[in-house]
Amino acid sequence: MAVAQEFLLQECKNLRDLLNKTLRYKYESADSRIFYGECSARLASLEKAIGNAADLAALGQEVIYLNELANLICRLERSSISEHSWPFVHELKRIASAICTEDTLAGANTPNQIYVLADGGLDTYRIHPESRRPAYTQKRLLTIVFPKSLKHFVLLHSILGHELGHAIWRCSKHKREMRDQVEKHIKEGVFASPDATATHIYSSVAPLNEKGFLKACPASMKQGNLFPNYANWEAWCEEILCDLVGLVIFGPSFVASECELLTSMNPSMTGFGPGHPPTAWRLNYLLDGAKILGYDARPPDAHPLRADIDTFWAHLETFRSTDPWYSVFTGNQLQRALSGMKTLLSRYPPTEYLVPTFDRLQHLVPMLKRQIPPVGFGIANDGSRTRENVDFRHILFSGWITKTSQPAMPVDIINKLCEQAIMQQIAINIAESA
Amino acid sequence: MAALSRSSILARLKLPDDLVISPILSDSQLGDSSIDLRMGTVALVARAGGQPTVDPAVQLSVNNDVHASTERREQKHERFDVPFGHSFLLHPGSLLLVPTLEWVKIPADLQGVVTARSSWAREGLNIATATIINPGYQGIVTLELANFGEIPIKLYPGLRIAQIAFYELRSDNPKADKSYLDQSQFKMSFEPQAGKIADGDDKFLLNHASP
Repeated sequence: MAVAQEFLLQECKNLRDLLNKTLRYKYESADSRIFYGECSARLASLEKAIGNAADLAALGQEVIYLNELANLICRLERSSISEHSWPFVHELKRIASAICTEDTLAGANTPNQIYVLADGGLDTYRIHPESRRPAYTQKRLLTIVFPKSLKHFVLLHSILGHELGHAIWRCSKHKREMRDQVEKHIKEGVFASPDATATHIYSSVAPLNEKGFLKACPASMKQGNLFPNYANWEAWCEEILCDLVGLVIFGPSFVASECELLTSMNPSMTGFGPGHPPTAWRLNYLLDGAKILGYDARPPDAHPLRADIDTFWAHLETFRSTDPWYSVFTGNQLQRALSGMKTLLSRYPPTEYLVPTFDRLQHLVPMLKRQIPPVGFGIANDGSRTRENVDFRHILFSGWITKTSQPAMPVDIINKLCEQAIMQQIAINIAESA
Repeated sequence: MAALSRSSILARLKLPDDLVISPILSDSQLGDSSIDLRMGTVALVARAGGQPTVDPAVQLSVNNDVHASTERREQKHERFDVPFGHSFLLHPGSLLLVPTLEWVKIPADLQGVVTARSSWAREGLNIATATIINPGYQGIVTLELANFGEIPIKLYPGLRIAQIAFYELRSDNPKADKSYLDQSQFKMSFEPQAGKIADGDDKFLLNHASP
């Protein structure tokens, strides 16, 4: 044990050198002092814990955390403010700082320390909440990972609403309420138990392509051992709740980004993963959820945006799987779960998505169609300038509407216009607050 | 070629599908015959070690070599994102490319001319040349800032550093001009880029190009 202990203490010193070297870089838009301080505190705490470890088991626990911290510090070297869309991050942080708070000795509702980096491609969207804090005086570190290849694709970034759900799930302040939602509303019907879910998956009425997927799985995988040998049922429940959180935070943009990203990564939309329920189930309950929340409201027939909004929702409906096997929740179940989520998230503004007026959309969408960043600015008939605070999620929604109604308009241009708009809107808000 | 007055600029800004300068954050941006432009949130600085010389002949010679031309382009500048509330230091003798905060769209019958605001010019900050913005252009305007003074200048995104004036164009063949403009329907600039100094001058440069 002494050898291991000595080596691990040396590794702590190595990590401290590494942490010091990260200060060569300008990472993130904020001062690096807080993040540096948080990591230093964790190293000091780990050195103490390793030095005092009573047995090998205790030492083993510290190794896990030491590696987690090493990964965190190494990520800093791959990060620079130029690697991700800082205007989107600015807005995302406002949400995360409002809801991802914990009571610490420093004060009630202390926000997590958010750190952003860019890495990899399509499947990189993540939020890593730190598994534990060294002391109640410390902030929890929240690492948000954007795909490096999708730097300007702010419309797709709405998918981070789901990842925020995971962060909230692990937040000590919301842990109980989140788990209550799962117990009370998710764990019914098809999700009443692992057996009930497995029975549904192996049901004789399952669509042929799904039966084909099961046949292609290892022969040892059976209905009786699907959970927990091949898939984690509790993880599936968490994923479902996080989807609903994403929906309540980002609104229609979240549904659109899930449809686009999930079907791009799983074009056949068949099957499931160990940690995720079937893609087609997810898209179906999100489309249902959007209706329950009234996100699909249409303006009157004569409204100039009516056709565009119809086109947007009709496009999303093409992602719905019509076989009843894919609808795993009743409307009542979804209604209760979403209502619970809204109650939680509405307590932490600006976390909850607020439905825009049609007038707001009628201002934004035509701007985008004319290839102008859609912001809360205009020239009134009397020549005066109008400046309004526009929620960045409404800019994203106008982007998705334009994307479906103007197929000739390149998608990267729409994304960049929306990113530019989010940046300009920050400037408008600064000017208005002065 | 007549310059647009304040009221004419406002009248054109009100028209749908016409002149666009967005957003205009304060009334003080509107001058008698121009609109002030603010610094955007990106800065491009030439890397001293990025290339030995600016030589259009060499640039032309690598145009067909994807690796070499991309490497030259990517290594030429250091790119910085400068969010609001942060600043960027422009040292004496340095050249900096920044975008405007405003999105600009110039209709077919106008031309924009961008110059430095005189108050900044007096501090040594210059836009190296007056920039002509062609009809049909849409996007940010790239400002080429140079510090001609002897003291470093701290620049903040959102600062009013330039101004744009508008001139009416005379056209002998509006149909032909419009057809030419329509070809660039989805071409727009979101941030500054290095210029294409060698394009179109092949005949003058080819004999001098070295590998």
